Amino acid sequence: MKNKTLLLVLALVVLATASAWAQANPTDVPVGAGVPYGIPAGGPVTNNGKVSPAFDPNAVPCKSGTTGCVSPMPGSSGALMDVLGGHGSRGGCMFCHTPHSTGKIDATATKAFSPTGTVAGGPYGTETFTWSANSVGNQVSGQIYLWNRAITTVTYKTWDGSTFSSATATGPDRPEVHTLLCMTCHDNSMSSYAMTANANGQHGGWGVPETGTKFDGTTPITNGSQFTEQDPGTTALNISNGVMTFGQGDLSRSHPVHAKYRGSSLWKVTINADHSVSYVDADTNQIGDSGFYGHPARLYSDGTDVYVECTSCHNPHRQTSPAYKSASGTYVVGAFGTTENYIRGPFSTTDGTISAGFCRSCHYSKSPEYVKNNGVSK
Amino acid sequence: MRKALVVLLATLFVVTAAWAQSYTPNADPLLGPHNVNNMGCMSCHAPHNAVLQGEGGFLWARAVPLKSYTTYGGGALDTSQTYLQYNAVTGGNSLSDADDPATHTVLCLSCHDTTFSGMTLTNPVNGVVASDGTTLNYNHPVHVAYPTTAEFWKVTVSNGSASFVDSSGTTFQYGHPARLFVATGGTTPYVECGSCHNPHQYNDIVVTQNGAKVAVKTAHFVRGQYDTLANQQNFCVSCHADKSGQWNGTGAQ
Repeated sequence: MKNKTLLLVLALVVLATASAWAQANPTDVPVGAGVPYGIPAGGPVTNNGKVSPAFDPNAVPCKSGTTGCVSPMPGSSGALMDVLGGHGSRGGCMFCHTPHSTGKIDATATKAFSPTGTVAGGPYGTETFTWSANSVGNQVSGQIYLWNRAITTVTYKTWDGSTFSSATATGPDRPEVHTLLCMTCHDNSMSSYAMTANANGQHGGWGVPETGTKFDGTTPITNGSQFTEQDPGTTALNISNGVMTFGQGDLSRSHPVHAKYRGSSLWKVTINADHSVSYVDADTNQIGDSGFYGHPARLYSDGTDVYVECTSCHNPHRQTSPAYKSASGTYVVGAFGTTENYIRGPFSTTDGTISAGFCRSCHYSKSPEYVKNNGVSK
Repeated sequence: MRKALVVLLATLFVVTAAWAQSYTPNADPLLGPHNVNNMGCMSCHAPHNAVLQGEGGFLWARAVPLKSYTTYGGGALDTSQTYLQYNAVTGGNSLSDADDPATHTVLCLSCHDTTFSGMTLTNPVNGVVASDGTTLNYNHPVHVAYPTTAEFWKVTVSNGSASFVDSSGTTFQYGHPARLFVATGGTTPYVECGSCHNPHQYNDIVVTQNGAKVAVKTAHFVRGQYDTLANQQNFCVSCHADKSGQWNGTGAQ
């Protein structure tokens, strides 16, 4: 009897120890039955020990302060999100920045992403994802914002047909850095992160426009072509999942990046001595004029030209609460409303006047102020 | 049972009301009804992964009809000749001909050909231009070359854009607010939907009159002043010189 009790206690201790061990060594992403989101058929893709689950467009997106959401990044399901939102869901700042540099530009490599390999279902055939953070080459990545991700040599085609290359990203003062660093995750060409590896091809990752129902609630139309209806009436446009490229290195269907900011249809700006860019029309005037939008966008300059980059519209550090330049010139948080998708100013996908306000903060000719100012360009 | 029915009806009413409400354009001062479902600029433009690529695609967010329309006078506008089908498998194929002035008609048909869009536009008179899906015969000609005859105000083409010779309004004081479209490197100005309509300015618009820019009222996204019967007439004769009081009978200028 005594032995039996001892045996039972021993068994309990073993069980508890095993349980504690399992808890102390969680996998990055749970594999197998019960995996809620984002895992492609066949399980997660492992790249030298790093796990890159596919992005699930149907997952509840994470926003600051929400729970039960699913971040596109591994290991963050259900987490209470920081102001960083999805960008901080694994390792906080370290997801992008490292206190000690490991990331490097590999000027000799063509892609960290190779169109052959192990994930089936994409139109390029099967895919493999290699991790080249420790590759050698032009080792400047870590010197740019202590970037923690590899930058490989990719030439991007943009909206206006021009191209730019990651090979020119030689320092933080280069405008294109503010696009290329984003691409280290948000692109099929450079990313090893597989954000787009959802097998069904939706959300543009494989170049198929998002499908949705029409205004009358019926099924999408195809008109005999491979176009499908993109109807904001019932389905969000392709703005939420962070996939930017359309085919490898192709940004031709996205808002222009590394594009020169110029033309009479835009609000005028000046380049400051430190190469920062200011709008000629002061924020104070615009906040007074329109009530809510000002000029929250950030433009970049090499000292000669002014450029629009990814982070002109997006602040990667603030998913829903924009830090906004007030009339006094200081930055305040949340004073002019909330935002979505890391947009720099107030933005709402359910309020067209607010979202249009953000667009109009650059697109002067489309703004009420254009009419108000009698068409005289400012 | 009766109570349940009332609750059900009430719920149905709320749902229906919410549905109707969600498709009521809000009061954006410039977009007007083009602020579709309160999506602002995104009603038509997608900041990422647009349907059409490149500068001529305007980051278009909606499907584009690929078919042939008959136009006023019996002509044809075959959009499939301009807009290639996108090959989703190979990716990156040319979707749009950025040079083609027809872009400024075809993009409108994404919504205003209701058989294609499936939309119920709120104004059947002004909002639907191809109610049977193929016929544009009952509309002002689109994708037609702007006439060079004396009955029309003269234009010049330079660097892919057309401008009226009488740009300062010395001859015709109400100016020439219409916009003509020219292919890059082309020499022929075309009339398209966008010639008369500015989809971004519903009721308020800026025009040049007597050589000066002034803000005026308009309607139906018309590019010029269009708030009184007299002003409506002025907009039409800003192209149709022979119908204006300024026509000298032998040529516009």
